Amino acid sequence: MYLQSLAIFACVNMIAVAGLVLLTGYTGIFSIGHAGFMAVGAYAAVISFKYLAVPFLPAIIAGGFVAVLISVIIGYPALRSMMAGDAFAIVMLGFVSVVRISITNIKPVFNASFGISDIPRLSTMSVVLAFTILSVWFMRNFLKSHYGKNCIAIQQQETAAEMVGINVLKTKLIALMISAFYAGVAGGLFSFFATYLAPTNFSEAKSDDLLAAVVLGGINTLSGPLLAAAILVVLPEFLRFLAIWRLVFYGAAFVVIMQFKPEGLMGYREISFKWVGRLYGKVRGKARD
Amino acid sequence: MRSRLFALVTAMCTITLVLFGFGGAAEAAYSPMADRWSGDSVTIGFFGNMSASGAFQDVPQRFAIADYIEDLNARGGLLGKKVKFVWYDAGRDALTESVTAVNKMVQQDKVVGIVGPGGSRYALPVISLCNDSKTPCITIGATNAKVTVNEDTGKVNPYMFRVSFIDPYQGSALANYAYKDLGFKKIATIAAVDDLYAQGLLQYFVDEYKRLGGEITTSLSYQSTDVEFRSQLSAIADSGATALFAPATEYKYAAFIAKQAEQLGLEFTYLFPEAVYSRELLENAGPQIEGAYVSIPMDENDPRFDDFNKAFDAKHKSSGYKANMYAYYAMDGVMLLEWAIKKANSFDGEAIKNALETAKGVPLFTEPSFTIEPETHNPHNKTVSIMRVEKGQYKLVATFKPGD
Repeated sequence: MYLQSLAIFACVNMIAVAGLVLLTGYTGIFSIGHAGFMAVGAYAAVISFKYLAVPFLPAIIAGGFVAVLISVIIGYPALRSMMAGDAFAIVMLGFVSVVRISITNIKPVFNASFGISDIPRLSTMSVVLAFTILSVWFMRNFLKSHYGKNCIAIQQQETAAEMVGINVLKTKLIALMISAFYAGVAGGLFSFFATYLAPTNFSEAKSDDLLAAVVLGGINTLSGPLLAAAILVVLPEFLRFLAIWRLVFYGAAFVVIMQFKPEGLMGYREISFKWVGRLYGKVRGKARD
Repeated sequence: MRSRLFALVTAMCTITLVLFGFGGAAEAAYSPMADRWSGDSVTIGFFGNMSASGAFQDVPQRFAIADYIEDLNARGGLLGKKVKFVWYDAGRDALTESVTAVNKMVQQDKVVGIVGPGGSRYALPVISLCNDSKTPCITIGATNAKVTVNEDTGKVNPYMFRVSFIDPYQGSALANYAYKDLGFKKIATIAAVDDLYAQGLLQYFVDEYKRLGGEITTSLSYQSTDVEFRSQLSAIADSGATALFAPATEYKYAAFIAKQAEQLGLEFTYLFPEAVYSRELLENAGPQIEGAYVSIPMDENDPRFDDFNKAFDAKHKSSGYKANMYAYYAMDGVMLLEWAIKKANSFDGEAIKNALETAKGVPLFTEPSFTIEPETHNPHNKTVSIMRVEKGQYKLVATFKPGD
């Protein structure tokens, strides 16, 4: 159960980070408030389940769609005004505060800062894994598609992308909506495993963790941030033997990685298994000899 | 390249599935109960906030439990077995780290019981884990009512217990004391809007105060990250209140409020809950806090704690921590668990739980006669002490049991 809980938290992080990779890594829109979408998705899913009798899986999906709706409300005016990446980051920073503080002030249904407790533990390993595989599969296909290439073009040279006919606003908005859906689903799955939902679960620190995973993993890859998302869950647990020095070393690990691998763990390369094929070939060759 | 990436994720997930089991196996992943005491030792666990703001409450708790277990082993252990102590920090992220800490304690350390945590936000996510794994958990400072009673069903959470106040109890007691004993017919409130403890106390205080006939002149709030309270304090003064109820979670808020009120030339009589009670408040707020009232479950200056305080302070001098009320709570928790194991004459989780439900008149560290209410798993009619700050010291002004 202990390893399982780590695996589930890692998978939830991976789903949220897979979405953020599209927005921040491939489209170049920095988001330092992504936990706001997680909070929206989590509350929408839990409220649908507890008060509207929506079954678990549709509730999770509904959470994702509510996050999408909010992302359009936030993102459309901001992106339409051709807001620069860093300015949008500040919009998102404000957004996460708005979400958190709004929820802490709404007593009916949301239960303000008391939070919603006694949520059934329905996010089992199989459910979370299925969502993780589907999320990564979809993201991989999206990045390979025309839409994905449009995102990369905007990240690399927005004006040039516009000149070759890419609808910048639409592409950015699609990237934002997809990443919000991922965060919303991740928030829902997280709450149905943690069994307790409170606004403090989705503070700015949570957004920092997600962004840290994208940057530490390598902003131009998908596999790097996914790996980093899992590492960021496992590392603090692995370092428990250091007792009170645990978080010092956790922070120091960030410094060391960025010092020696400023382009992130994976840099510009995806995880490759070519070496397995080469090794297999060598072993077979030797066996023939 | 991308197809390899997908293959990697699929492979990782498949391996995870094989390693961790599929689906519903999650709930059945606990090892047999007897594994917990099959060796020549048993383990007791503790978790809480030992790295974030507010660690001054949980670190002394950890020291107190460790010291008590050391002493217990010197006395021959529990039911003939040595007792080990494990603790985990959940300060980085209360929710996820509480879940992983309890899972680790139950599955890997095979604890027979958990003493702690010290706060509701650490206790609420682990309720179902303790219930499912049949691991008794005696919380030592989690005051939210939902920790021991399911809000939806009204049924008790079978393996969750507590030795501390609950918010309704303390909030009502303070309202009664303010209205009846201190004679405040109107009062203002200020509380962190995003804090479970502050909002819980505030709600019950206000409800009881209004029921008694008192007037709340204004009810203002702040965020837990705030350090600036001058605008709220000015508004409170404008409302005509001379008394201020501030259910702060840590002493730093009380110190900020008192100091900033003085800078504005405002004078209030403050009412604070137990969470601000500490020597550090007196050192930080100084004369500005004079005349303030604090409700607590026990008086740190009580001579019966002198020996404990001296031994604790001497042993942990290098850590910078001194014995405090939170350490006393921890002593209550570990002594109650020891009592229950001896009463049950077993380390079996269900037997310990059953024993805890029958706890009546148990002598603990702070309560000479401690009783658990079986229907709520809360302490029965716990003593409330009211302290007043006089000449830079806490002075006991009233002690009562609200149920009497």
